[in-house]
Amino acid sequence: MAPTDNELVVRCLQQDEYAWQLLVERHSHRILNIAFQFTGRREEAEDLAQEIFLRVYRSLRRFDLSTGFLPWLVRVSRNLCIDEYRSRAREKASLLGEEPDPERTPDRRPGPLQNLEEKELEETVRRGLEKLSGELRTALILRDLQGLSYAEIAEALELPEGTVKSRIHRGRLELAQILSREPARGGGPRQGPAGGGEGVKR
Amino acid sequence: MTHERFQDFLSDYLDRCLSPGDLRECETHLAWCAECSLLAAQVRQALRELQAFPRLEVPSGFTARVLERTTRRDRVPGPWEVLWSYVALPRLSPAAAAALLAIPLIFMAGTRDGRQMTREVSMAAHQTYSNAVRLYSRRTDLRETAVAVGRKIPGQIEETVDWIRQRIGSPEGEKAPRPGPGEPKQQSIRSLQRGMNA
Repeated sequence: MAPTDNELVVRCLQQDEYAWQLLVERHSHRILNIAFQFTGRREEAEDLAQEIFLRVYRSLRRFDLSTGFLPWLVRVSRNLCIDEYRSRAREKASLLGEEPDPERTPDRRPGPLQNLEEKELEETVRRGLEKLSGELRTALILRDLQGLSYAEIAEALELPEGTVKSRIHRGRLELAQILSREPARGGGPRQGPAGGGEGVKR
Repeated sequence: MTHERFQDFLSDYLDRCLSPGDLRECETHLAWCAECSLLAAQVRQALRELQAFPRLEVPSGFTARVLERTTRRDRVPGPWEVLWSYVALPRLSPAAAAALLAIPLIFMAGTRDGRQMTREVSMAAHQTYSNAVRLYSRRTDLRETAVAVGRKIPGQIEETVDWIRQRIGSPEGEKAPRPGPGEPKQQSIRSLQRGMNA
């Protein structure tokens, strides 16, 4: 039977490098994608994911073994992502008006034409998420992109479950409103199913 | 069901976690309310787009790079290492060094035992240097060394060195002149003289 995360943490604290390797392998995909979803930048995601693991490793002694590892891991990741987001926002503000140089931030995905639709969708959702407040964005990412349960999110964010639920609900409504104002892929305004295209009534 | 009540239920409705009764109510409301149908469709579309947000695959070598950055260079430090890291912080180093120096100084100057120990150390050093001068002065080729060592005798002054020079420059076997009255460091000179004549 595979060891639980908490068992691996105990072994890590006893300087068992193999246990740490297992933990990294087990959570790499999730952490990498949390980093990607928070920053919206592929090229920064790996560096940020490495930073997250570095911080997790240094903080292992502070992890409360009576609690779940995943919510704690998500909390550490989310804190670091928010720090990163803020520092990037400051950087952006200081470079106001400068567009990113596409040659310096290459998109490593193959075939831009064949992935055009996916790229547009990614960009639309990324912009939509960026327009949400930090707390709503975090709640949505953890619920709808990471698939965590309400209880796990509540533990990760150290909030009551009701608050988490409310944030997710508001986040979904706001995102729907934002995305409904985005032009539909292929040009023209996005149409709602009822043909109205107007925003969500709050 | 009112619009407000439906909107409160919307997330749970889309997550399919309503009770059968609430679910029936919502579906009945949706059947006649175009406004709430639009809202539900927009939120469902937003969720679909979120679900379609691309997922990154873990690049090859990622785990190795993480391990390189953690286990090799950034092991979990032990409690003593943590303590030492605080002591060794550049901004704390002068304070730590001052504290380490202050302990023996306070002991030596501030306690009776300390003062006694200082006196004994000083006397021992004086005796050692005096013995060295005595031994060097017996050899003609080491007399300059004797003078150099004599300069190092704690508490000696130039006259003492001159006296040593004079003493070792005198013919073999000749008794060194006794220092005159009023000459400083009488005791040191006499002790040297006794040593050299021994």
